[in-house]
Amino acid sequence: MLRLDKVTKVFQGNILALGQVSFELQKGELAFLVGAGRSGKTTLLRLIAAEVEPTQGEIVFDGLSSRDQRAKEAALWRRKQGLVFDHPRLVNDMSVFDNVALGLRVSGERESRIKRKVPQVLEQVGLLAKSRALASHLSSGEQQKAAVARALVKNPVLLLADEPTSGLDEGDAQEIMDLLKKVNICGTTMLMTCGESVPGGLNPSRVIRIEKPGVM
Amino acid sequence: MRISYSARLALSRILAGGRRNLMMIICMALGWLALGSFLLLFLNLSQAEEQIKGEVQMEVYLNGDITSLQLYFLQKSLQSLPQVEQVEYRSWRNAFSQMEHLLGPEALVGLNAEALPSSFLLHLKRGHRSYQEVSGLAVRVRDWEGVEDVEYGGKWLKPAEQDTRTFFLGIIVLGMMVALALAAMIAGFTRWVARSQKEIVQVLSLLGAGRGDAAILLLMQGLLLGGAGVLMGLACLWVLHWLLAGALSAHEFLPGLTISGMIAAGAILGALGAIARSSRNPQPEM
Repeated sequence: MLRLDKVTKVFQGNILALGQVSFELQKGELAFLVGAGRSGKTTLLRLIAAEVEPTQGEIVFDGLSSRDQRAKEAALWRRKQGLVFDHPRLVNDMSVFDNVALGLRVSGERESRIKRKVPQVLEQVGLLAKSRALASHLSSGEQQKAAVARALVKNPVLLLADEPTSGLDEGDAQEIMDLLKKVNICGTTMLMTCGESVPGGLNPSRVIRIEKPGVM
Repeated sequence: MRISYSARLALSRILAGGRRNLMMIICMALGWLALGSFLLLFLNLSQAEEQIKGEVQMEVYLNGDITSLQLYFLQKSLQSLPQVEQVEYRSWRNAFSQMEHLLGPEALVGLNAEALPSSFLLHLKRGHRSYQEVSGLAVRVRDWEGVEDVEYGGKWLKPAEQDTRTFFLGIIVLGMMVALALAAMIAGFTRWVARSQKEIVQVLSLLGAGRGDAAILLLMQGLLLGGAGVLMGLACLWVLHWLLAGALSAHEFLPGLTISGMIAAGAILGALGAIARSSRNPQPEM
Protein backbone atom coordinates (compact mmCIF):
# COMPACT_ATOMS: atom_id res chain seq x y z
CA MET A 1 0.00 0.00 0.00
CA LEU A 2 2.91 2.31 0.82
CA ARG A 3 6.47 1.58 -0.21
CA LEU A 4 9.53 3.77 0.21
CA ASP A 5 12.58 2.72 -1.72
CA LYS A 6 15.91 4.36 -0.79
CA VAL A 7 14.27 7.75 -0.35
CA THR A 8 16.69 10.62 0.16
CA LYS A 9 15.82 14.25 0.71
CA VAL A 10 18.37 17.02 0.44
CA PHE A 11 17.13 20.55 1.08
CA GLN A 12 18.59 23.77 -0.33
CA GLY A 13 22.03 24.47 1.00
CA ASN A 14 22.96 20.79 0.70
CA ILE A 15 21.20 19.90 3.94
CA LEU A 16 20.64 16.17 4.12
CA ALA A 17 17.30 15.65 5.84
CA LEU A 18 16.83 11.96 5.06
CA GLY A 19 19.16 9.39 3.53
CA GLN A 20 18.26 6.11 1.86
CA VAL A 21 15.03 5.44 3.78
CA SER A 22 13.26 2.22 2.80
CA PHE A 23 10.22 0.53 4.32
CA GLU A 24 6.86 -0.84 3.35
CA LEU A 25 3.44 -0.59 4.98
CA GLN A 26 0.62 -3.04 4.42
CA LYS A 27 -3.07 -2.20 4.53
CA GLY A 28 -4.43 -1.85 8.06
CA GLU A 29 -1.05 -1.49 9.76
CA LEU A 30 -0.39 0.86 12.66
CA ALA A 31 3.18 2.05 12.33
CA PHE A 32 5.15 4.50 14.41
CA LEU A 33 8.04 6.67 13.33
CA VAL A 34 10.25 7.31 16.30
CA GLY A 35 13.46 9.26 16.57
CA ALA A 36 15.12 12.24 18.16
CA GLY A 37 14.08 15.78 17.36
CA ARG A 38 15.08 16.97 13.85
CA SER A 39 15.81 13.42 12.78
CA GLY A 40 13.59 13.85 9.71
CA LYS A 41 10.30 12.31 10.88
CA THR A 42 8.22 15.29 9.73
CA THR A 43 10.15 15.48 6.46
CA LEU A 44 9.31 11.83 5.86
CA LEU A 45 5.59 12.53 6.39
CA ARG A 46 5.83 15.53 4.06
CA LEU A 47 7.36 13.31 1.42
CA ILE A 48 4.60 10.73 1.81
CA ALA A 49 2.00 13.53 1.66
CA ALA A 50 3.53 14.62 -1.69
CA GLU A 51 4.23 18.02 -0.30
CA VAL A 52 7.89 17.81 -1.17
CA GLU A 53 9.55 15.59 -3.73
CA PRO A 54 12.28 13.12 -2.90
CA THR A 55 15.73 14.05 -4.16
CA GLN A 56 16.44 10.38 -4.82
CA GLY A 57 14.51 7.14 -4.51
CA GLU A 58 10.85 6.38 -5.02
CA ILE A 59 7.66 6.44 -3.00
CA VAL A 60 4.80 4.28 -4.21
CA PHE A 61 1.42 4.95 -2.62
CA ASP A 62 -1.75 3.16 -3.60
CA GLY A 63 -0.23 2.19 -6.95
CA LEU A 64 1.03 5.71 -7.78
CA SER A 65 4.73 6.47 -7.98
CA SER A 66 6.32 9.72 -6.84
CA ARG A 67 8.40 9.58 -10.04
CA ASP A 68 5.45 10.31 -12.33
CA GLN A 69 3.86 12.78 -10.03
CA ARG A 70 2.80 16.20 -11.19
CA ALA A 71 1.07 18.93 -9.15
CA LYS A 72 -2.42 17.72 -10.04
CA GLU A 73 -1.61 14.13 -9.18
CA ALA A 74 0.02 15.23 -5.92
CA ALA A 75 -3.27 16.89 -4.95
CA LEU A 76 -5.18 13.72 -5.85
CA TRP A 77 -2.67 11.67 -3.85
CA ARG A 78 -3.27 13.94 -0.83
CA ARG A 79 -7.01 13.46 -1.14
CA LYS A 80 -6.55 9.77 -0.43
CA GLN A 81 -4.65 10.57 2.74
CA GLY A 82 -5.77 11.97 6.06
CA LEU A 83 -3.37 14.36 7.75
CA VAL A 84 -3.28 15.20 11.45
CA PHE A 85 -0.62 17.54 12.82
CA ASP A 86 0.74 18.50 16.20
CA HIS A 87 -1.19 21.74 15.71
CA PRO A 88 -4.84 21.20 14.65
CA ARG A 89 -4.65 23.63 11.67
CA LEU A 90 -8.35 24.43 11.70
CA VAL A 91 -9.80 27.55 10.13
CA ASN A 92 -10.63 29.40 13.32
CA ASP A 93 -13.51 31.50 12.05
CA MET A 94 -15.31 28.51 10.53
CA SER A 95 -17.67 26.23 12.40
CA VAL A 96 -16.57 22.73 13.40
CA PHE A 97 -18.98 21.34 10.77
CA ASP A 98 -17.48 23.49 7.99
CA ASN A 99 -13.93 22.66 9.02
CA VAL A 100 -14.65 18.95 8.85
CA ALA A 101 -16.67 19.34 5.64
CA LEU A 102 -13.75 21.13 3.98
CA GLY A 103 -12.05 17.81 3.31
CA LEU A 104 -15.06 16.62 1.32
CA ARG A 105 -15.73 19.93 -0.37
CA VAL A 106 -12.19 20.05 -1.70
CA SER A 107 -12.90 16.74 -3.44
CA GLY A 108 -16.09 18.20 -4.94
CA GLU A 109 -18.49 15.98 -2.95
CA ARG A 110 -22.21 16.67 -3.15
CA GLU A 111 -23.73 18.69 -0.32
CA SER A 112 -26.26 15.94 0.39
CA ARG A 113 -23.43 13.49 1.08
CA ILE A 114 -21.56 16.06 3.16
CA LYS A 115 -24.64 16.66 5.32
CA ARG A 116 -24.95 12.94 5.90
CA LYS A 117 -21.31 12.10 6.40
CA VAL A 118 -19.98 14.95 8.58
CA PRO A 119 -22.38 14.42 11.54
CA GLN A 120 -21.48 10.71 11.53
CA VAL A 121 -17.78 11.48 11.92
CA LEU A 122 -18.41 14.23 14.46
CA GLU A 123 -20.38 11.73 16.50
CA GLN A 124 -17.51 9.27 16.21
CA VAL A 125 -15.07 11.80 17.73
CA GLY A 126 -17.61 13.08 20.28
CA LEU A 127 -18.08 16.56 18.83
CA LEU A 128 -21.57 16.34 17.35
CA ALA A 129 -22.99 18.65 20.00
CA LYS A 130 -20.44 21.30 19.06
CA SER A 131 -20.79 21.08 15.28
CA ARG A 132 -22.07 24.66 15.03
CA ALA A 133 -19.44 26.14 17.34
CA LEU A 134 -16.56 28.12 15.87
CA ALA A 135 -13.28 26.22 15.88
CA SER A 136 -11.68 28.99 17.92
CA HIS A 137 -14.22 28.38 20.70
CA LEU A 138 -13.09 24.77 21.24
CA SER A 139 -10.54 23.58 23.80
CA SER A 140 -7.21 22.36 22.41
CA GLY A 141 -8.25 18.74 22.90
CA GLU A 142 -11.51 19.35 21.05
CA GLN A 143 -9.68 21.16 18.27
CA GLN A 144 -7.42 18.16 17.80
CA LYS A 145 -10.47 15.88 17.72
CA ALA A 146 -11.97 18.13 15.03
CA ALA A 147 -8.71 17.82 13.08
CA VAL A 148 -8.92 14.03 13.36
CA ALA A 149 -12.56 14.18 12.21
CA ARG A 150 -11.51 16.28 9.21
CA ALA A 151 -8.93 13.65 8.30
CA LEU A 152 -11.34 10.75 8.78
CA VAL A 153 -14.32 12.18 6.92
CA LYS A 154 -12.60 11.45 3.61
CA ASN A 155 -12.27 7.73 4.44
CA PRO A 156 -8.52 7.96 3.83
CA VAL A 157 -6.53 5.03 2.61
CA LEU A 158 -3.67 6.19 4.86
CA LEU A 159 -3.77 8.40 7.92
CA LEU A 160 -0.59 10.36 8.62
CA ALA A 161 -0.33 11.85 12.08
CA ASP A 162 2.55 14.10 13.09
CA GLU A 163 2.85 14.03 16.89
CA PRO A 164 -0.92 14.45 17.25
CA THR A 165 -0.89 14.65 21.04
CA SER A 166 1.88 17.21 21.30
CA GLY A 167 0.88 20.11 23.53
CA LEU A 168 -2.23 18.35 24.89
CA ASP A 169 -2.77 17.51 28.56
CA GLU A 170 -2.67 13.88 29.55
CA GLY A 171 -6.45 13.37 29.44
CA ASP A 172 -6.86 14.91 25.98
CA ALA A 173 -3.78 13.08 24.68
CA GLN A 174 -5.21 9.75 25.85
CA GLU A 175 -8.57 10.50 24.20
CA ILE A 176 -6.89 11.30 20.90
CA MET A 177 -4.77 8.14 21.07
CA ASP A 178 -7.85 6.03 21.87
CA LEU A 179 -9.64 7.61 18.96
CA LEU A 180 -6.81 6.92 16.53
CA LYS A 181 -6.55 3.37 17.82
CA LYS A 182 -10.25 2.83 17.10
CA VAL A 183 -9.79 4.23 13.62
CA ASN A 184 -6.97 1.78 12.99
CA ILE A 185 -8.99 -1.13 14.34
CA CYS A 186 -11.68 -0.19 11.82
CA GLY A 187 -9.13 -0.83 9.05
CA THR A 188 -7.43 2.49 8.31
CA THR A 189 -3.68 2.23 7.76
CA MET A 190 -1.86 4.64 10.02
CA LEU A 191 1.62 6.11 10.17
CA MET A 192 2.27 8.24 13.21
CA THR A 193 5.30 10.11 14.45
CA CYS A 194 6.05 10.46 18.14
CA GLY A 195 9.10 11.29 20.22
CA GLU A 196 11.76 8.72 20.93
CA SER A 197 9.44 5.99 22.18
CA VAL A 198 5.99 4.63 21.39
CA PRO A 199 3.26 5.74 23.82
CA GLY A 200 2.05 3.01 26.14
CA GLY A 201 -1.21 1.13 25.59
CA LEU A 202 -0.74 0.89 21.84
CA ASN A 203 0.23 -2.21 19.95
CA PRO A 204 1.92 -1.00 16.82
CA SER A 205 2.43 -3.48 14.04
CA ARG A 206 5.70 -1.77 13.27
CA VAL A 207 8.07 0.75 14.81
CA ILE A 208 10.37 2.57 12.41
CA ARG A 209 13.25 4.30 14.12
CA ILE A 210 14.89 7.15 12.28
CA GLU A 211 18.35 8.32 13.01
CA LYS A 212 19.77 11.11 11.05
CA PRO A 213 20.46 10.42 8.24
CA GLY A 214 18.73 7.19 7.35
CA VAL A 215 16.58 4.50 8.89
CA MET A 216 17.11 1.53 11.16
CA MET B 1 -13.48 21.91 -5.63
CA ARG B 2 -16.80 22.98 -7.10
CA ILE B 3 -16.95 26.53 -8.47
CA SER B 4 -20.15 27.22 -6.53
CA TYR B 5 -18.38 26.26 -3.31
CA SER B 6 -15.34 28.36 -4.25
CA ALA B 7 -17.67 31.35 -4.65
CA ARG B 8 -19.39 30.68 -1.33
CA LEU B 9 -16.05 30.18 0.39
CA ALA B 10 -14.67 33.40 -1.13
CA LEU B 11 -17.71 35.32 0.11
CA SER B 12 -17.54 33.75 3.56
CA ARG B 13 -13.81 34.57 3.78
CA ILE B 14 -14.56 38.19 2.87
CA LEU B 15 -17.27 38.37 5.53
CA ALA B 16 -14.99 36.66 8.04
CA GLY B 17 -12.33 39.28 7.26
CA GLY B 18 -14.80 41.81 8.69
CA ARG B 19 -13.26 45.19 9.47
CA ARG B 20 -10.07 44.51 7.49
CA ASN B 21 -11.95 43.83 4.27
CA LEU B 22 -14.41 46.64 4.89
CA MET B 23 -11.47 49.02 5.27
CA MET B 24 -10.06 47.78 1.99
CA ILE B 25 -13.40 48.24 0.21
CA ILE B 26 -13.72 51.77 1.63
CA CYS B 27 -10.18 52.69 0.55
CA MET B 28 -10.83 51.38 -2.95
CA ALA B 29 -14.18 53.19 -3.02
CA LEU B 30 -12.41 56.45 -2.15
CA GLY B 31 -9.96 55.87 -4.99
CA TRP B 32 -12.78 55.18 -7.45
CA LEU B 33 -14.68 58.18 -6.12
CA ALA B 34 -11.68 60.40 -6.89
CA LEU B 35 -11.24 58.92 -10.36
CA GLY B 36 -14.99 59.04 -11.06
CA SER B 37 -15.05 62.70 -9.98
CA PHE B 38 -12.37 63.52 -12.54
CA LEU B 39 -14.25 61.62 -15.23
CA LEU B 40 -17.47 63.40 -14.33
CA LEU B 41 -15.75 66.77 -14.36
CA PHE B 42 -14.17 65.96 -17.70
CA LEU B 43 -17.49 64.88 -19.16
CA ASN B 44 -19.35 67.97 -17.98
CA LEU B 45 -16.57 70.30 -19.10
CA SER B 46 -16.55 68.68 -22.53
CA GLN B 47 -20.26 69.28 -22.76
CA ALA B 48 -19.84 72.88 -21.64
CA GLU B 49 -17.09 73.37 -24.23
CA GLU B 50 -19.35 72.00 -26.94
CA GLN B 51 -22.09 74.36 -25.85
CA ILE B 52 -19.74 77.35 -25.96
CA LYS B 53 -18.45 76.32 -29.34
CA GLY B 54 -22.02 75.92 -30.50
CA GLU B 55 -22.21 79.70 -30.23
CA VAL B 56 -19.40 80.06 -32.77
CA GLN B 57 -20.91 81.49 -35.92
CA MET B 58 -19.37 83.33 -38.83
CA GLU B 59 -20.89 86.42 -40.32
CA VAL B 60 -19.87 87.10 -43.95
CA TYR B 61 -20.65 90.75 -44.77
CA LEU B 62 -21.36 91.46 -48.40
CA ASN B 63 -20.34 94.35 -50.66
CA GLY B 64 -23.10 96.90 -51.20
CA ASP B 65 -22.85 96.52 -54.98
CA ILE B 66 -23.03 92.72 -55.07
CA THR B 67 -25.09 91.43 -58.00
CA SER B 68 -27.78 88.77 -57.74
CA LEU B 69 -25.65 86.36 -59.72
CA GLN B 70 -22.62 86.95 -57.44
CA LEU B 71 -24.92 86.49 -54.44
CA TYR B 72 -26.18 83.19 -55.83
CA PHE B 73 -22.70 81.80 -56.52
CA LEU B 74 -21.35 83.03 -53.21
CA GLN B 75 -24.16 81.24 -51.33
CA LYS B 76 -23.50 78.05 -53.31
CA SER B 77 -19.75 78.29 -52.59
CA LEU B 78 -20.36 78.83 -48.87
CA GLN B 79 -22.78 75.90 -48.71
CA SER B 80 -20.21 73.62 -50.32
CA LEU B 81 -17.61 74.29 -47.63
CA PRO B 82 -17.00 71.15 -45.50
CA GLN B 83 -17.02 73.19 -42.25
CA VAL B 84 -20.40 74.77 -42.91
CA GLU B 85 -23.62 73.21 -41.69
CA GLN B 86 -26.09 75.89 -42.70
CA VAL B 87 -25.99 79.19 -44.56
CA GLU B 88 -28.53 81.83 -43.64
CA TYR B 89 -28.99 84.99 -45.72
CA ARG B 90 -29.63 88.23 -43.79
CA SER B 91 -30.71 91.23 -45.85
CA TRP B 92 -30.17 94.84 -44.71
CA ARG B 93 -33.80 94.73 -43.52
CA ASN B 94 -33.04 91.72 -41.28
CA ALA B 95 -29.94 93.48 -39.97
CA PHE B 96 -31.93 96.66 -39.25
CA SER B 97 -34.74 94.84 -37.40
CA GLN B 98 -32.18 92.91 -35.37
CA MET B 99 -30.41 96.12 -34.39
CA GLU B 100 -33.74 97.67 -33.58
CA HIS B 101 -34.55 94.70 -31.39
CA LEU B 102 -31.20 94.92 -29.64
CA LEU B 103 -30.78 98.68 -29.25
CA GLY B 104 -34.34 100.04 -29.38
CA PRO B 105 -35.90 102.23 -32.11
CA GLU B 106 -34.73 105.51 -30.47
CA ALA B 107 -31.10 104.59 -30.99
CA LEU B 108 -31.61 104.12 -34.71
CA VAL B 109 -33.28 107.45 -35.44
CA GLY B 110 -31.62 109.04 -38.45
CA LEU B 111 -29.83 105.84 -39.47
CA ASN B 112 -29.98 105.02 -43.14
CA ALA B 113 -31.17 101.41 -43.01
CA GLU B 114 -30.23 100.72 -46.60
CA ALA B 115 -26.63 101.52 -45.76
CA LEU B 116 -26.47 98.46 -43.49
CA PRO B 117 -24.68 95.54 -45.16
CA SER B 118 -26.48 92.37 -45.96
CA SER B 119 -24.69 89.18 -44.90
CA PHE B 120 -24.56 85.41 -44.78
CA LEU B 121 -24.64 83.84 -41.33
CA LEU B 122 -22.71 80.57 -41.33
CA HIS B 123 -23.53 77.86 -38.77
CA LEU B 124 -20.44 75.69 -38.42
CA LYS B 125 -20.41 71.93 -38.06
CA ARG B 126 -19.43 70.23 -34.79
CA GLY B 127 -15.72 69.41 -34.79
CA HIS B 128 -14.98 72.41 -37.07
CA ARG B 129 -15.33 75.11 -34.45
CA SER B 130 -11.75 75.40 -33.25
CA TYR B 131 -10.02 78.79 -33.42
CA GLN B 132 -7.50 77.49 -35.93
CA GLU B 133 -10.11 76.18 -38.33
CA VAL B 134 -12.51 79.11 -37.98
CA SER B 135 -9.78 81.75 -38.40
CA GLY B 136 -8.37 79.92 -41.44
CA LEU B 137 -11.82 79.77 -43.01
CA ALA B 138 -12.36 83.49 -42.33
CA VAL B 139 -9.10 84.42 -44.10
CA ARG B 140 -10.09 82.29 -47.08
CA VAL B 141 -13.65 83.61 -47.42
CA ARG B 142 -12.58 87.24 -46.91
CA ASP B 143 -10.82 87.12 -50.32
CA TRP B 144 -13.85 85.90 -52.20
CA GLU B 145 -15.60 88.13 -54.68
CA GLY B 146 -18.53 90.08 -53.24
CA VAL B 147 -17.29 89.72 -49.65
CA GLU B 148 -16.71 92.92 -47.68
CA ASP B 149 -15.59 91.44 -44.34
CA VAL B 150 -15.84 88.37 -42.12
CA GLU B 151 -16.41 88.26 -38.36
CA TYR B 152 -16.36 85.25 -36.08
CA GLY B 153 -15.67 86.34 -32.47
CA GLY B 154 -11.93 85.65 -32.73
CA LYS B 155 -11.21 87.85 -29.75
CA TRP B 156 -12.83 85.51 -27.26
CA LEU B 157 -12.55 82.20 -29.12
CA LYS B 158 -8.74 81.93 -28.96
CA PRO B 159 -8.23 82.63 -25.22
CA ALA B 160 -11.29 80.55 -24.31
CA GLU B 161 -9.91 77.64 -26.29
CA GLN B 162 -6.44 77.97 -24.72
CA ASP B 163 -7.86 78.14 -21.19
CA THR B 164 -10.08 75.12 -21.76
CA ARG B 165 -7.18 73.14 -23.22
CA THR B 166 -4.94 73.92 -20.23
CA PHE B 167 -7.74 73.01 -17.85
CA PHE B 168 -8.42 69.72 -19.65
CA LEU B 169 -4.74 68.86 -19.66
CA GLY B 170 -4.57 69.46 -15.92
CA ILE B 171 -7.62 67.27 -15.34
CA ILE B 172 -6.25 64.49 -17.54
CA VAL B 173 -2.85 64.52 -15.80
CA LEU B 174 -4.44 64.55 -12.35
CA GLY B 175 -6.94 61.87 -13.39
CA MET B 176 -4.14 59.65 -14.71
CA MET B 177 -2.20 60.08 -11.49
CA VAL B 178 -5.28 59.13 -9.49
CA ALA B 179 -5.86 56.13 -11.81
CA LEU B 180 -2.28 54.92 -11.32
CA ALA B 181 -2.49 55.40 -7.56
CA LEU B 182 -5.79 53.55 -7.60
CA ALA B 183 -4.36 50.61 -9.57
CA ALA B 184 -1.41 50.36 -7.17
CA MET B 185 -3.70 50.65 -4.17
CA ILE B 186 -6.11 47.95 -5.37
CA ALA B 187 -3.31 45.58 -6.30
CA GLY B 188 -1.60 46.21 -2.94
CA PHE B 189 -4.75 45.78 -0.91
CA THR B 190 -5.74 42.64 -2.75
CA ARG B 191 -2.31 41.17 -2.16
CA TRP B 192 -2.67 42.06 1.48
CA VAL B 193 -6.03 40.29 1.67
CA ALA B 194 -4.66 37.33 -0.26
CA ARG B 195 -1.75 37.13 2.18
CA SER B 196 -4.23 37.05 5.02
CA GLN B 197 -5.72 33.95 3.35
CA LYS B 198 -2.49 32.01 3.79
CA GLU B 199 -4.08 29.88 6.51
CA ILE B 200 -7.07 28.71 4.45
CA VAL B 201 -4.94 28.19 1.34
CA GLN B 202 -2.54 25.99 3.28
CA VAL B 203 -5.37 24.01 4.86
CA LEU B 204 -7.03 23.52 1.46
CA SER B 205 -3.76 22.42 -0.03
CA LEU B 206 -3.19 19.86 2.72
CA LEU B 207 -6.67 18.49 2.15
CA GLY B 208 -5.92 17.90 -1.51
CA ALA B 209 -6.85 21.14 -3.22
CA GLY B 210 -4.73 21.83 -6.28
CA ARG B 211 -3.03 25.12 -7.09
CA GLY B 212 -5.95 25.91 -9.39
CA ASP B 213 -8.47 25.59 -6.54
CA ALA B 214 -6.52 28.05 -4.39
CA ALA B 215 -6.07 30.40 -7.33
CA ILE B 216 -9.81 30.32 -8.11
CA LEU B 217 -10.62 31.09 -4.48
CA LEU B 218 -8.26 34.08 -4.40
CA LEU B 219 -9.42 35.20 -7.83
CA MET B 220 -13.05 35.22 -6.70
CA GLN B 221 -12.13 37.12 -3.57
CA GLY B 222 -10.28 39.67 -5.68
CA LEU B 223 -13.20 40.00 -8.08
CA LEU B 224 -15.70 40.42 -5.26
CA LEU B 225 -13.58 42.91 -3.31
CA GLY B 226 -12.62 44.91 -6.40
CA GLY B 227 -16.22 44.94 -7.60
CA ALA B 228 -17.55 45.95 -4.18
CA GLY B 229 -15.00 48.80 -3.98
CA VAL B 230 -15.94 50.25 -7.35
CA LEU B 231 -19.69 49.90 -6.69
CA MET B 232 -19.35 51.70 -3.38
CA GLY B 233 -17.24 54.41 -5.04
CA LEU B 234 -19.82 54.86 -7.81
CA ALA B 235 -22.67 55.01 -5.29
CA CYS B 236 -20.82 57.77 -3.37
CA LEU B 237 -20.16 59.61 -6.64
CA TRP B 238 -23.82 59.40 -7.62
CA VAL B 239 -24.89 60.82 -4.24
CA LEU B 240 -22.27 63.59 -4.56
CA HIS B 241 -23.44 64.37 -8.08
CA TRP B 242 -27.06 64.41 -6.97
CA LEU B 243 -26.25 66.79 -4.09
CA LEU B 244 -24.08 69.15 -6.14
CA ALA B 245 -25.79 68.94 -9.54
CA GLY B 246 -27.79 72.13 -9.02
CA ALA B 247 -24.94 74.15 -7.55
CA LEU B 248 -22.39 73.20 -10.21
CA SER B 249 -24.81 73.15 -13.14
CA ALA B 250 -23.59 69.63 -13.82
CA HIS B 251 -25.83 67.94 -16.29
CA GLU B 252 -25.28 64.26 -16.62
CA PHE B 253 -23.93 61.40 -14.57
CA LEU B 254 -21.35 59.11 -16.13
CA PRO B 255 -22.60 57.24 -19.21
CA GLY B 256 -23.55 53.58 -18.85
CA LEU B 257 -20.54 52.43 -20.85
CA THR B 258 -18.11 54.29 -18.58
CA ILE B 259 -19.83 52.89 -15.47
CA SER B 260 -19.62 49.36 -16.87
CA GLY B 261 -15.97 49.94 -17.75
CA MET B 262 -15.20 51.16 -14.24
CA ILE B 263 -16.92 48.14 -12.63
CA ALA B 264 -15.07 45.77 -14.94
CA ALA B 265 -11.76 47.58 -14.27
CA GLY B 266 -12.31 47.39 -10.50
CA ALA B 267 -13.08 43.70 -10.59
CA ILE B 268 -10.22 42.95 -13.00
CA LEU B 269 -7.70 44.93 -10.93
CA GLY B 270 -8.85 43.05 -7.83
CA ALA B 271 -8.50 39.74 -9.64
CA LEU B 272 -5.07 40.66 -11.03
CA GLY B 273 -3.85 41.50 -7.54
CA ALA B 274 -5.13 38.15 -6.31
CA ILE B 275 -3.55 36.25 -9.22
CA ALA B 276 -0.22 37.98 -8.61
CA ARG B 277 -0.42 36.76 -5.03
CA SER B 278 -1.60 33.25 -5.85
CA SER B 279 1.38 32.75 -8.17
CA ARG B 280 3.40 32.91 -4.95
CA ASN B 281 0.96 30.58 -3.27
CA PRO B 282 2.27 29.42 0.11
CA GLN B 283 3.24 25.79 0.22
CA PRO B 284 1.65 23.75 2.95
CA GLU B 285 3.84 23.22 5.96
CA MET B 286 3.92 20.55 8.59
